[in-house]
Amino acid sequence: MRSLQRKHDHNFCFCSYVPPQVLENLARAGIKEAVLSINQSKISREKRDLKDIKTDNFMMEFTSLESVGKASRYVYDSKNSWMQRVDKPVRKEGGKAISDKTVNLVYDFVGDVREYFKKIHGRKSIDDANMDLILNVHYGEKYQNAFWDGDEMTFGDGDGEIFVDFAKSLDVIAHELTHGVVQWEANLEYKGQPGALNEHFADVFGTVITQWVEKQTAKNADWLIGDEIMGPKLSGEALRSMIEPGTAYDNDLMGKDPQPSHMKDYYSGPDDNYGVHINSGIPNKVFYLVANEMEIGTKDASMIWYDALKNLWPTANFNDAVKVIVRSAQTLTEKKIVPKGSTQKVRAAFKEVGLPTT
Amino acid sequence: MTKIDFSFSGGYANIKGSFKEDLKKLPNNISKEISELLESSKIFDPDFKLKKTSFFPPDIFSYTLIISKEGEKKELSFNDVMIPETLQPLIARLRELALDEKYRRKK
Ligand SMILES: [Zn+2]
Repeated sequence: MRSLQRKHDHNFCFCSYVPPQVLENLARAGIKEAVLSINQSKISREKRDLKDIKTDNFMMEFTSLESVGKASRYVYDSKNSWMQRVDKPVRKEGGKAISDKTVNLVYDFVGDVREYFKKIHGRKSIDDANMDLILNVHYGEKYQNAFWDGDEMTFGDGDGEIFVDFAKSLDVIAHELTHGVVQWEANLEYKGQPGALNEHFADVFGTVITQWVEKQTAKNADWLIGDEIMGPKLSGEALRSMIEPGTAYDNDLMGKDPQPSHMKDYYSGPDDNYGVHINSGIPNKVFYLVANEMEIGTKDASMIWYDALKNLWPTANFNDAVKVIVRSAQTLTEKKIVPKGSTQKVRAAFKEVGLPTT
Repeated sequence: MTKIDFSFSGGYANIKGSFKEDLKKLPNNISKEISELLESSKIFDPDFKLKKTSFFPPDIFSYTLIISKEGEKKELSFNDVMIPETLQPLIARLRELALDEKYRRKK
C-alpha cells in the first residue's frame, strides 16, 4: 500500500509481513485479528484494482490491522465527477472551515461520530486502530446515495427534489461509518439475516449518535432514519422508523415502507439482498423497546449492543443475535455497567417481536 | 432501433425504479441525449469491461441494463463500484429517468 500512502497524502497503511497462508490458518483457529486482516486485505487489493492503484512491492500485498493513521479526517471534493479522492483534500484535520458548507458539515459530523465511539466505547476510529477517515463529497451528478466502500466514505448531492445532499445528515454519516465498524468487528455478510443485522447495527448507531450529539433522550428522540435527506417531493417522510417499522413512508414515489416489526411478517423474497433494509425493522424495534419502553435508556442499550457487535460473526442470524445480545446484557449487568434487570428486559423485548424463533 | 431496458435498486434509501423504452418513442431531445450518452459509454466497444469486484459494499445501488441495437444485444448486471467512468453519465441519467417515470406514472 506504499503507493496508496504517497498518492493520498496521509498516513494510511496496513503493512505486515505475515504470509497469507499463516493468516488463514490463524483465521481457521478463530483468531479474530487474522479473520479481519484477510477480509481487509481482500478489500484493499480489490479496491486497488478498481482504482488502478499499482502495487510496487509484492510484500505490501500482505496486510494486517497495523494501521499507522491518526484517525484524521480528510475531505475530498469529487467536483461532481464519478471519482473518489480527486486532487488534494479540500479540508484536513485541524484545517479551517472553507466556503463549501457540505465539506464543513461532513467534517463536523464525522468528528462527532469519531468522538462518540472514543468517549463512550473507547474505540479509536473505525478500525479501533486510528484509521484515517477519508470522505468524498459532491460525488457524481445528482447521485442519490452515500456509501462506505470498505475504507472510505462517499456522498452524493441528491437530486434536490426527492433527496437532498446526503452529507447534510448526521444520521446518514453515523449509519455509514458504523458499516465500517461492523466490517472491522462482526463483519456481517451483506445478505439475508446477517445483512439485516448489519443494517440494524448501522441504524442503531445512526440514531444513538444523533441522540448523543443533540442531547436527546430515548423519550424525546424521533427514532427516524433518513428524515433529513428527504427533498421537497417527500417532505415529512423518513426512510425508516424504529418506533414503528413500516410507518416511515407511504407515498406515490416510494410506495409504502415495507419494514416488518414482527417475525410473523418477515420478508423472505430476493429483493434488497434478501431484505437487508427490510427485515432490519425487526431488531430495530427491539432496540427501541429496550431503550425507551423498557426504560433502559439509549446509552445503556447502546453499551449492550456495542458489546454484542464485538462478539458476533459474519454468518450470524437473528437467533444468534438474540443469544449474543442477551449474553452481553448479562455480562454488563455483572460488571455493573447496566442496571440489574437489563437482561430480562432485553429478552422481553425480543419476545415482543417473535424472537428467538423455534 | 435502439431499445433500453434499465432497472436499479438499493442504496441507503433502498429505492428502486425502472425505465424501458424504445429511443424512437422518446421526445427528440431525450432520445438524442441518451444516444449520445450511449455512444460515449463505449458499451459496444470490444474492449468494454465492467470493473471487477467480489466485495459488495453496503448501501450501494445494483443495476441491470439491457440494450438492443440493430441486431446487437448487450446485457449487464453490476453495482455502483463496478461502473467504468465512461458508463457513469448514462447510468446517472437512466436512474433519473427511472425515478421521473415512476413519479409521473403514479401521480
Ligand atoms: Zn446501510
